[in-house]
Amino acid sequence: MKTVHVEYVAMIRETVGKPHEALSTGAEDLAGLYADLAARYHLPWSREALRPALNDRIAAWDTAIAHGDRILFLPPSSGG
Amino acid sequence: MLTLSNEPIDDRTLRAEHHAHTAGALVVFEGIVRNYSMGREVTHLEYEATPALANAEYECIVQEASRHYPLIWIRCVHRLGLVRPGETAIWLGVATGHRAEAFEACRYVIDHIKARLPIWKKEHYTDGDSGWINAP
Repeated sequence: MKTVHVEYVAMIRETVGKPHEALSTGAEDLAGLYADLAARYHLPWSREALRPALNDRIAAWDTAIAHGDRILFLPPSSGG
Repeated sequence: MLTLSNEPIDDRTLRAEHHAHTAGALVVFEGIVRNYSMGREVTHLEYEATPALANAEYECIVQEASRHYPLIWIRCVHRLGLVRPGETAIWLGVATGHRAEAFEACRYVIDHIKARLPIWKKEHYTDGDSGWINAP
């Protein structure tokens, strides 16, 4: 098990009900972590609709996660 | 350079940052908040961003654009927080040697900003309802 810091933004934050949390997880990669979180918080969004970010960089879903990582799941952009 | 700001955008100050005498064209795009959306009356927008990621993605977009167009100067400011109809939500200035490439480069950058920058917009309506735009 490892501990990662997950930040929630925009509609994901509103669904989860908190802006961030430290999580103990056995997930191997970003896809596995999102699957766990989607089940825990009943997140309705498929992975295809989101982009993951790891330690301030947009990453691939199969990127391995390590103890201490900072992780976000980005909804589709709507700036401008 | 990208600035994320909770304050109103001062276009005169931004325009004054451009000094390059090698540039024959400066195209400025301002995205302005409308007072309606999909038939509903909008009272205000609420923007939020992840600043580190937004800055990194903006630099990627500028690097990509510079491979396609001979950019001389580029500057962008995006509002965060509460923004009301009539206010500028984004200011983008692109300077190049000639006008055709300035128009094209500005279009390229604003399109990629809207599609890729991790910034999210929530609309608030006169009936008290609200909703995230582009919610999946």
